[in-house]
Amino acid sequence: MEQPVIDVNGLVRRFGERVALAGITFSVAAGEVLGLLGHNGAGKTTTIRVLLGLLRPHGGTVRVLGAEPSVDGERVRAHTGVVGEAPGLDERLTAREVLAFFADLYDVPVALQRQRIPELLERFGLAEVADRRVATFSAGMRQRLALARSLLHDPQLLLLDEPTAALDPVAAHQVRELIAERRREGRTILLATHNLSEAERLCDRVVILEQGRVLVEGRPHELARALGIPAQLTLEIDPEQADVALRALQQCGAEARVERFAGQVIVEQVTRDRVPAIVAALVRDGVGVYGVSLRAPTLEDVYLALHRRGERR
Amino acid sequence: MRAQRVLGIVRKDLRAVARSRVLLLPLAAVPIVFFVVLPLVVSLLGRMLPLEESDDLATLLRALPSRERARIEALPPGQQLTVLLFGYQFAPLLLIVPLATTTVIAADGLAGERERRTLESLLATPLQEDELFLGKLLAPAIPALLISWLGAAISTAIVAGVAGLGPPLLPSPQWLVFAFLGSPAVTLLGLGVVVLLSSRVRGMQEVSQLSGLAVLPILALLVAQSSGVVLFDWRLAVLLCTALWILALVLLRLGRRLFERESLLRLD
Repeated sequence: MEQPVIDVNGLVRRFGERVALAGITFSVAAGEVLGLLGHNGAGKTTTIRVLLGLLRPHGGTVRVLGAEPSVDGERVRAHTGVVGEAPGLDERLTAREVLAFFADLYDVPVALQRQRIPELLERFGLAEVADRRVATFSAGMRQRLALARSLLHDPQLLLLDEPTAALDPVAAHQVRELIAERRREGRTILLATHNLSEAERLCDRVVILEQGRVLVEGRPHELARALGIPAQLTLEIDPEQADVALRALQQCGAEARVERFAGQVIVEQVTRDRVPAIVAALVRDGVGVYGVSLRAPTLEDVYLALHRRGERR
Repeated sequence: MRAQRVLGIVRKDLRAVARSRVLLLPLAAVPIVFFVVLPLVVSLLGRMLPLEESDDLATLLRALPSRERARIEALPPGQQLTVLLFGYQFAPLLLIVPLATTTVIAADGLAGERERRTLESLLATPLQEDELFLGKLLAPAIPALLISWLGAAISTAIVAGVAGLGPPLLPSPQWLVFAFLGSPAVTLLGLGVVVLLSSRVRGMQEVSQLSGLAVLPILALLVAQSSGVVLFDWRLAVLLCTALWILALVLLRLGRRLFERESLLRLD
């Protein structure tokens, strides 16, 4: 079996008395995109810092690309590209100078730099502004430059920490597109985010962290089923028959409400296998059903359900 | 240790400093005052004001050891003041320019990197801590020493041109000691102070201001010498510079111990 690119087992990290990571375990396979989700302070950034060897673990084991980051951090970082919430670019340099500087730090030979830097500037839509100082760039342009920087050394692994958090919707969309492209290229990516739709769209699997612990781990569309989180059924009916429809649904034990204006009955807490019975009950009572749509639970539903369960505990 | 990485840091830091007006102003002003204005004023004053016409300056002359005093008294009146001030009294001032230049650039490169939130992206590269440390030391040290030595040469040329003084009178031996042994020592000392402060203090301004206090002992030397308490002949100058070298190396060693990814990140 192929060795995972990231293998974290029982990772503990404290800051004084505060426990930032309380024994988390997860792994990322080659070519996989893993979403690390959680509130601010859940432990996402600390995890990334430990994976890079910037912070030492206080317990557990961590292996990245077969090496232990706290011991052989240089090797890990040489094959890893990083983008943080703050792009970390010196505003006094031009985009081209930023890339040349980091190419030196990543040991990219000068001859290869001459070829790769213009390529990356072109690919990330920065060729026109390559010789402008970063100080004149918008937040989106800066984040695109940070992404270009993360690929200078053609890394096997990308660690992205809230790459769209500080961006406006258009810039965030552009950055997501660029991440999706890297995904299609088959790169292994760990994406720390609290943007659930972003994670749902980009990630093969997600790990949800809360207060330094793994709450749940799995594929976004499987998590809801595994956790028994129900879907929402929307039925299009004649608004005149709304009351009849509600009675029919109550009789078959469904929790329903009516959007009279839109002519819709929304049935909450539905599992897929109950849909035929619900439609049959309506038809039997003479309600005309013109449309049926079952919305599968989103990652947001999963996240909120987990959060509610946590609060109840 | 890879030269490409170290030189990359040096190039980037110097390029960034060259584009910052806030930093360029003090970097240009201090050398101009000490290496152009001061020698020019001293040389012109020396030509116009013979030593015996000023009681204060005659007191300074009397503070010199008898052999040095006799040498100056043997000069034509128009040259006595210039040799006294430029060759003896102001020689420790040669230490101020490298110290000021170093602290300004180093504070920008260390504490400034953190303030601009660019430090973590550097730490996330394969850069070794030794490479980062060396790059961050060389970036301020190279211009500090170049400016100091070039400035020293310019000030000597000004004195030679205006007062008509050259070797063996000027530059004096202690002047040469301060220029070539003292300047690198205070450069390293300034770096040591900035590295230590940067590991404790968050802001660039704070680091810059606190490290600027390192100039005070040099000014104290100047006052002590002007008041006749002590005269830095070349032997004492060598001793002082050696002590500065030792202190600088101790501070840098302590600074290097604190210069680790985790402790650098802790203040970020």
